[in-house]
Amino acid sequence: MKKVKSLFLALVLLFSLTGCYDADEPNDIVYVMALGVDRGAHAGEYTFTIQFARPTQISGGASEEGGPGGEEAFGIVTVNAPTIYSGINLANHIVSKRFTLAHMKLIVISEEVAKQGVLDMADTIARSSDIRPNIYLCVAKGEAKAYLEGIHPVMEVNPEKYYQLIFENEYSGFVPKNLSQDFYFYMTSEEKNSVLPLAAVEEGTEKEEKGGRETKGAGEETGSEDSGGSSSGQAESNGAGEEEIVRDIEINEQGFEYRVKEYIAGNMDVEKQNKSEVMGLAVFDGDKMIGELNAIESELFSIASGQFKYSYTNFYSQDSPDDPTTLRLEQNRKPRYKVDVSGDHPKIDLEVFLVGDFVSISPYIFLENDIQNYEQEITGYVQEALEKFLEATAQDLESDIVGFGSYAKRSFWTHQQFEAYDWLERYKDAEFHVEVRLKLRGTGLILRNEERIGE
Amino acid sequence: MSKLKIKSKEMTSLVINAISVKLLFSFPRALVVRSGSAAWIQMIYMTLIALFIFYITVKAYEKAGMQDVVTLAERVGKKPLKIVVGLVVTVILLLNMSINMRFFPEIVNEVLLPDTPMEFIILLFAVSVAFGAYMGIDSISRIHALFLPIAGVVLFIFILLLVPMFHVNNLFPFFGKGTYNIFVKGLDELRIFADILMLNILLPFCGDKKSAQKSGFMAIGISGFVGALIAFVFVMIFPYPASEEFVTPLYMLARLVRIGRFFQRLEAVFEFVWSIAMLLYSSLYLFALCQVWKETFGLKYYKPVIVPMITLVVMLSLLPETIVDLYNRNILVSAVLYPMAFALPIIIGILYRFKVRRRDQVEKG
Repeated sequence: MKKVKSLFLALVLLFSLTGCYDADEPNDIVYVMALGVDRGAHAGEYTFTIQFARPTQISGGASEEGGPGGEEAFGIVTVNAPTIYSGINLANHIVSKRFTLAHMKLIVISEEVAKQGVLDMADTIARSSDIRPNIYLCVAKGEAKAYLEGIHPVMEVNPEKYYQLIFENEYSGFVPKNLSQDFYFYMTSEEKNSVLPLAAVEEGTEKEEKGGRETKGAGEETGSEDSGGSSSGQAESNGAGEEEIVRDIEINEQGFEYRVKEYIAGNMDVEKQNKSEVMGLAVFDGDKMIGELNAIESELFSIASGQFKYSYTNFYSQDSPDDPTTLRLEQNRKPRYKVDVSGDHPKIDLEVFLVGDFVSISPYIFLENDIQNYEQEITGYVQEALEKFLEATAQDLESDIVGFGSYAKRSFWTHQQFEAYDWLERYKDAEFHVEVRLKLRGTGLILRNEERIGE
Repeated sequence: MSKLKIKSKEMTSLVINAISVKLLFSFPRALVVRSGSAAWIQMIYMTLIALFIFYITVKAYEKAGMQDVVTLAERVGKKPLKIVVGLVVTVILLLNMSINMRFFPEIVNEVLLPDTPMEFIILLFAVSVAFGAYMGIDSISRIHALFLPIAGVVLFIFILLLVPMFHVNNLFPFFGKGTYNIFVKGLDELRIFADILMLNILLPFCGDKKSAQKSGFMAIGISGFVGALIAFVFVMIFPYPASEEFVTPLYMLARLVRIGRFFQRLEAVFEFVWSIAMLLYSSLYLFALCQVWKETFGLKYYKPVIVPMITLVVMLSLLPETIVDLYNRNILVSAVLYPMAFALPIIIGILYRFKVRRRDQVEKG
């Protein structure tokens, strides 16, 4: 009897545990790397652009060499559907393999969709056990589809790695770090507004692909570079095949990031093979996009929110107005926040800690000899820039993107009291006091001496 | 009185798992729904209340020796009371187990095996649970004592890896949804400690009264600490009100864990601990159910009851049509049955004290 029981048990285990319904052969699955969301042609419909991996093109398949990578490493399918999963369902009928979102890295939402609200998208992202909580979300200026189609990673064989490195780059302040989980957490929050990175395909590329790109013959004049004004810019190219991009992009004349152009995704006048770019941030009120900030403002956001690691930053110098000084600026401590809610409007104290090392100085001045004065000078520039930035976001965008509300909560005993205070409403009248503690630390590998140069 | 004795450490492990396995599922969410950012304060408060209730139970049980509540009921009110108490305890255990028997496969189906039919997962799980119960309390308790430290280490490592994601500001406002919600309405959630009833049912297997009491106090204390820690970590990472929405908070936390860019999806480790903890918990529950049934109706062996009892549990677990129905049923069970799990040993213990005192008075007089 014991043998029969043992045999029965062994059979049960054998048949129930050796295989299962959920077995997925990697060969039967196609991995979505990125998903673009655009407004569809009909009401309540979206156009989903599914960018999927071609593993054989990444790994090289049966060949002994690696895959070619680049644009051959992925394919794109576009479907119209009311929700993400119904889009995936449709796509499953187009491609021979089954799509899975388990390895998806990026969701790109078009500006149009973002402005109308992304509550339904955010709900799907949070609800799905397939989609990871740490995928990247971004807003595409123009079409999300165009952005994904414009991606041609130059340095990476695998585009998934490209997304990871671009959106998780800790050494650039021009792009905010924000994962889908953070967006979902604060979308319904009373304490802060969400931001997402801005992405775009280089302006003009879209037209070119549609046969409408403007080109100028060799020898023709290109647009003026220093005619300020719009930060959106225009793209022109000269010569057949040879492209020299010249745009009207406002140049920052403030002390912080002096002479750096106010770039935003899509308007960068940079020659590159990869036509897609990420720069600046989109500001949200709840689930709706309400504004955008350029690269320099994004950097200030990173500094104020404590996300800034280090970056090469340009500063004005009174001694050499024509030659910006470049520092390797590092945030060595998290900022300190103090929020006073006792009055009729919030009073906010922000204390920022930065350390700088000289990377580039005008050859005609000797800042090394007057380091303390220059330290004070640039401290003033950062302080001024931060104050302007905070006032602009509070008064123009009426948004607490830095998250001072999280510190304001400390002054309340219960959620009900905090909700009654209506932080986001009062924030637009907030009074800011910014204190910057900037220390100039190093001068690089050389230390020049005025007397010696003068000899 | 059983000849088989369980060591104090093993008994403590049994009761800790019985109480704290619910923390792996939706219980932390219930705390946040009730108290907001003060969920961890509510857990500490409930632990103190549970310790106090257990202290009263110990006092009420002072003269009862090592008898479980069903046997003691027979001493107090003969066979009819024994059957009534036995049936009440059976219903408490049965309904509670059937909810967990459904809840666990639902979550497994959602996050691990989306294509596998629910019935298959329940059936497989039921077979494993029945096998566990069949092996007896000795095996169950030994595996508990072996597994619990491993589970503790895994939990500790997970919490350490989550530290970089902590946001101290999420702990504020300090009193969350208010003191009334924490200290008055929050008592509803005391249900997590109702499984201390398991210690009473297993009392005949304890070595002596002192070690049983020690196991009870330690199990409540450790479970309370673990519960408060999980609630604290959950609140620190998931800001209110988003934190109210996640069905399985600990699993959601595990999904966030990553070590650099390479080590991700560490929730697989958590899922292993989760499954084993649930299997041990359910095996213990089924054993206790059969044990109570055996005591109630004076049977000689508990093993023949395993198959009918697990069949009944599986059938009951399949009654709720959706997970929302399951939640509603859970609320009903919490409101009606859990208070009885606390009250029954105290009532029967006090009645027995009265009976003993009256008997002593009669003998003296």
